[in-house]
Amino acid sequence: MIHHKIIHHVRHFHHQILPHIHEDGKEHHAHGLSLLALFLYLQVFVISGVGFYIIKTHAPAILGAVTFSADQIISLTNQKRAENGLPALAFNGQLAQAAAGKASNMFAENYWAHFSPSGKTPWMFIAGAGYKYVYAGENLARDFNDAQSVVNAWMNSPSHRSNLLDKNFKEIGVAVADGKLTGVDGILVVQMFGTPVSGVPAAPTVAVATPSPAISPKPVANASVAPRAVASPVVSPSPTPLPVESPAVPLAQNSPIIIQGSPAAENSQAIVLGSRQFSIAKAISFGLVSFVFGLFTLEVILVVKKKNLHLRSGIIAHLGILALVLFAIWYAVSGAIL
Amino acid sequence: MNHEEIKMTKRVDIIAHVCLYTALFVGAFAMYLSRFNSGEVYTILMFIAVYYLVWGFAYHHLKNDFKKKLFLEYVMIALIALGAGYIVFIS
Repeated sequence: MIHHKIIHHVRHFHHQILPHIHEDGKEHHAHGLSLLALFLYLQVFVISGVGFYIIKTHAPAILGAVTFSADQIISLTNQKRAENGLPALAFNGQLAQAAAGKASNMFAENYWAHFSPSGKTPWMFIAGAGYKYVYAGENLARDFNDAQSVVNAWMNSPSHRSNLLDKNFKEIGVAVADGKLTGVDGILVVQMFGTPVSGVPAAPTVAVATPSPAISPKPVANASVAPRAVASPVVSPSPTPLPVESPAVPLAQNSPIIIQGSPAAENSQAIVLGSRQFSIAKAISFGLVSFVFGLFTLEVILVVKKKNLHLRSGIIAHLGILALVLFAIWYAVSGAIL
Repeated sequence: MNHEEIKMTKRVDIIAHVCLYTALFVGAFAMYLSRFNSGEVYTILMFIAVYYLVWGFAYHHLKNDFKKKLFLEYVMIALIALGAGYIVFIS
């Protein structure tokens, strides 16, 4: 009796995951891939999406809370530079103020870009904070759950990585702020790099440009550092910011923004609520899509092995799109960088 | 089906699947390039899901095996792809 029950359960399980032929001679696909089963899998995503929304709006701390600070970003940046044999960047309060000013402006003007809709450039914020620079750069990140993920994302992007590992930069300032940007609540990270005028040795010749291929070939006249080699700052991750700058415009005229010193700019920080949501969502999606992909793959293998079964129509297409989804989830990162 | 028809069907099968997989590879490449912008990745996924549905509709019409149940299977899988993408990239 027990033996029969076990056989029944094994056969039942087998029918769930593999194509089979019933006693009546009719061929059946795995029940786990029936329309009803596919509909039930879809409900898992619907319920997860609704669940995340409810938890996020009512009790986001359930999904984790992480403190995310500018100091962590600076320390991780310097760690990456050390791993690549580069000297650490020194913290600069004016660059931190510039970064805080940029973050405030991004929230105020509601944009996600290196240049504001009203035409403010990153170096306007840097110069507005009183920082006299020879080189400057900017990295942006939003909606990440922790500092490590931000720095990893920048390191995985060639243009951001070149900013982090640029030997021309000597100082750094970072702002971390939370708010609503382009309709989404999240964390914004602004990382400003700079080399102060005093940080560059005097050039033997007057006003020679192009000290490095990474810098714009167009020199910018700078009254405060007249005899030295001066190059315009570069927002490296953005491939085409430099043509916007007029090489003939003196820097002083190009810096109308006055940023008030803010104590929060020194080590700004924010608390990320719902920090585990991304990893939970990724696990649910990857697990379930892998399961469906696995069942389709089993069906192909079994049909190839057993000549009396037929391949379901469209299965190669299904495998293709499911593989694409798995690829996208595998490479998914929680936020965005610019 | 005679020999010529079988040959033709096989040719259509190969061309159709090459078209689909080319689109999927292009989509995967675009997703990889946009991996630091989740909104863009989801937009690409939506385009691919729509392409997959249109492809399925056209392919099975050409093969004369288009059935409502089969099309629903395509719809369900496209929705699963979008649902999985939604909770990862958007929610």
